[in-house]
Amino acid sequence: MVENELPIGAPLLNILVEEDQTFTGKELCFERVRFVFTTQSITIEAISDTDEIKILQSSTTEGLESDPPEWARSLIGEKLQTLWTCENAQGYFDQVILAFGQLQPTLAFVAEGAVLKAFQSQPLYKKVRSSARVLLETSIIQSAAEYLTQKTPQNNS
Amino acid sequence: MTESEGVALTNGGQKKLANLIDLKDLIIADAIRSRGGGQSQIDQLRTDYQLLRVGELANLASASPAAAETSIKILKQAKKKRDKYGRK
Repeated sequence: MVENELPIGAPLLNILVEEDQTFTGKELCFERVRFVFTTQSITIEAISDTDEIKILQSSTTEGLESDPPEWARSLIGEKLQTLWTCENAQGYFDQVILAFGQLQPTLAFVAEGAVLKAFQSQPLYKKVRSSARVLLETSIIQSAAEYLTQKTPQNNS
Repeated sequence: MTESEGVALTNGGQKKLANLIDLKDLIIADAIRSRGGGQSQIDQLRTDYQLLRVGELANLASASPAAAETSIKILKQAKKKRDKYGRK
């Protein structure tokens, strides 16, 4: 039976991907990506005619014996927090964002060129000067000060 | 390739175009207009791609340049979805 409820709160057991074989560039492109949870799977795939995304839910949890792709390994065991479905300015549903572990974007999938492209999300951080850099800058300033002290005549009279 | 033969699509190019294969010989800007797109969609294209044909861009898109792939997507989504399919 297909559930309508998304498996929010369920741990991710595996990610199975079907890579596109026609694209010759470096970017990973997928025909479809399946997320396996404890009681169901969610599959996302590109609709080639409109470059939109289709989401399919299934009660099958097959595929646990396969290894996840390397980029997905850190996500295995993390709970699905939410899933955003995004419509672009033209009104086409062409992006899905998933949050694993925390309620923040983890992975985004965009349909383009009849395939799915994946993006990893990470927060931006405040700029913090590293202690090593502070020490280096302090040392340079001290050296410059010493040099100037030696070069500057002590007595102008 | 002669002008009458049109653009020869690679396997990848065919896949990128999906149901838009009939537009392969049109200049991308003309193709976008023919699908209900406006100047803003044409302005989105990389400048040096604006005079290429749809099939040429599809072949490029299957090889690597992201901007070529974006051009094909702009073509597919040229018209606002609600205008094309009606409100649901």
